[in-house]
Amino acid sequence: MKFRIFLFFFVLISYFLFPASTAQGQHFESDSYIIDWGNFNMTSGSKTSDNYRLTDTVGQNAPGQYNSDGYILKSGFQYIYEQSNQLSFQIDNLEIAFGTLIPGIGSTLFNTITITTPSGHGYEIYAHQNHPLQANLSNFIPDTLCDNNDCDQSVSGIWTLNTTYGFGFNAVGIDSNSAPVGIGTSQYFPDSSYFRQFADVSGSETPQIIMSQNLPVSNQSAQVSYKVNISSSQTGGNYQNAIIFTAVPKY
Amino acid sequence: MSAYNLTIKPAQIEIIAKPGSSITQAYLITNNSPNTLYLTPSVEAWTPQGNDGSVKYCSPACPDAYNAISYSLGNADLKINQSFTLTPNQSQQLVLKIKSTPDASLGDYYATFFISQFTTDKIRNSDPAAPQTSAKLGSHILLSLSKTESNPASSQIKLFKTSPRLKDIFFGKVNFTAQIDNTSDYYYPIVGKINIVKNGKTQTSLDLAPQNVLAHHSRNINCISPDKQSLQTCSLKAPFWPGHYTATLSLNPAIKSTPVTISYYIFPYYLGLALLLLSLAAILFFKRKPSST
Repeated sequence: MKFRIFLFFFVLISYFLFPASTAQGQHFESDSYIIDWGNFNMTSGSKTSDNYRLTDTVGQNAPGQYNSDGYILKSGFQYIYEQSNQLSFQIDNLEIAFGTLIPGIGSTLFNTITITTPSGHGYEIYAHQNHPLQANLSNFIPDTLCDNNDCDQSVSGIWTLNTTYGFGFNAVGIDSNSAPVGIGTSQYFPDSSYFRQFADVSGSETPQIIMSQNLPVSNQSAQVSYKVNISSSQTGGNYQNAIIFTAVPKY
Repeated sequence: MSAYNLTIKPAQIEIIAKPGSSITQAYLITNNSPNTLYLTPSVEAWTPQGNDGSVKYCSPACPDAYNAISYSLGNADLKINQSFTLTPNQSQQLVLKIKSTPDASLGDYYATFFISQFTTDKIRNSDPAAPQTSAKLGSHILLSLSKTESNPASSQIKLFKTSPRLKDIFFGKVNFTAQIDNTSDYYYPIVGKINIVKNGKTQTSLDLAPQNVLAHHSRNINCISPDKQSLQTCSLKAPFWPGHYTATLSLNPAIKSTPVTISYYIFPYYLGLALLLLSLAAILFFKRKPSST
């Protein structure tokens, strides 16, 4: 009998001293919001069995769904395994310096743009210029019209002749070995002989898409070619402008 | 040589909120480039364009209803349109506050939270011609103002097609295309599947990619890859058994829509052609062979 009483108190004391392990979530509460976070930095991945397939992501800070009194917020891509919910964009060289230009001889310089999109989203890259290449308001290098006067900010045209003057660009998708493949760009520039003008926002033109994909990409690159050719009547000076690339995911 | 390499996380947020509510979202901006970047946060509204997730920035001519949504930063030392710097490998958390007026119209509001590289014409006397490139990186905001957490969704399946309709058993793919037309006032992700049936038995099914289709707008379908890791066009790879197949595109019952069924055929074209050529060759061979008598 004594042993049974001892056992009863032993179990009772043990219950309070060593409570059974429970699934502890994080709970935050205020007058306006209640946020329950299930877990912190434990695991993530895809689990499968014969009957079920489960994907979970545990320990992420931003992605997921939060419920409160006033709203529901989702910042991940639902229903497929979340690999990435971030957008990255890269330009390998920001400064395009042509140096001294020789009339009738086109100069071309390059840089490379690279984009990585979040899971489930494609992307669009727009381009525009703040104004044409100009030394002052009355002295500028005009935007190219291409060899057949058939290109503008939204339509590309062939530009190979040295007698075609102006400033323009193209973008050609390249692979990891820098070989031209046209992925993401071929619908805007059929090949590297096609050029167009940068959309000129000082002339009320809107930024134009120069590269896009409907499906997610990782480190997709394009080589951007900047070409300028001046006539012998072009006034000397320091011609400047700003070229802006805008990268956004597809919704 | 200066470079630009920036990351924004998350790349998109999707919100259902009551009119008059205030929402806070933290963004992490990371400078991965080897030089300091001068950056400016801003927000621009847009409307959907095309059927593949493209947008058209509408400022300053956005719908009047968009004026009911205001954006500000919760950071103590930073405001919208105020520049800040990020040194190499530095990250900055920006806390965006999105607030709607209590009398805001119910429905969807779309915008992009931009981080723009601050740039000016940089006069470099040694360079007679020198464009200066810079970049702007955006994260989309899809906001539904609603009085309920579960918005009513309705849709119409349009242009459900397969190509080619006559297909060989061995080579190529059977491709499926369609548009989902959102006939409701709120965006929703496409949830559904394409069931492939032959002789009354389901052969396989393709899960539609849960890409958003915006209010009163259409979106082309894509599918989830078999390993659930990525997206791809909706297609089936050869080989196939010959016969008559039907493909039924159906959406989640929560998205009110009528399933659409199309049919296509698989034939052993190349096998038949090969047998025909072999037969012809055999006939020619035996015809030319001189008679032993």
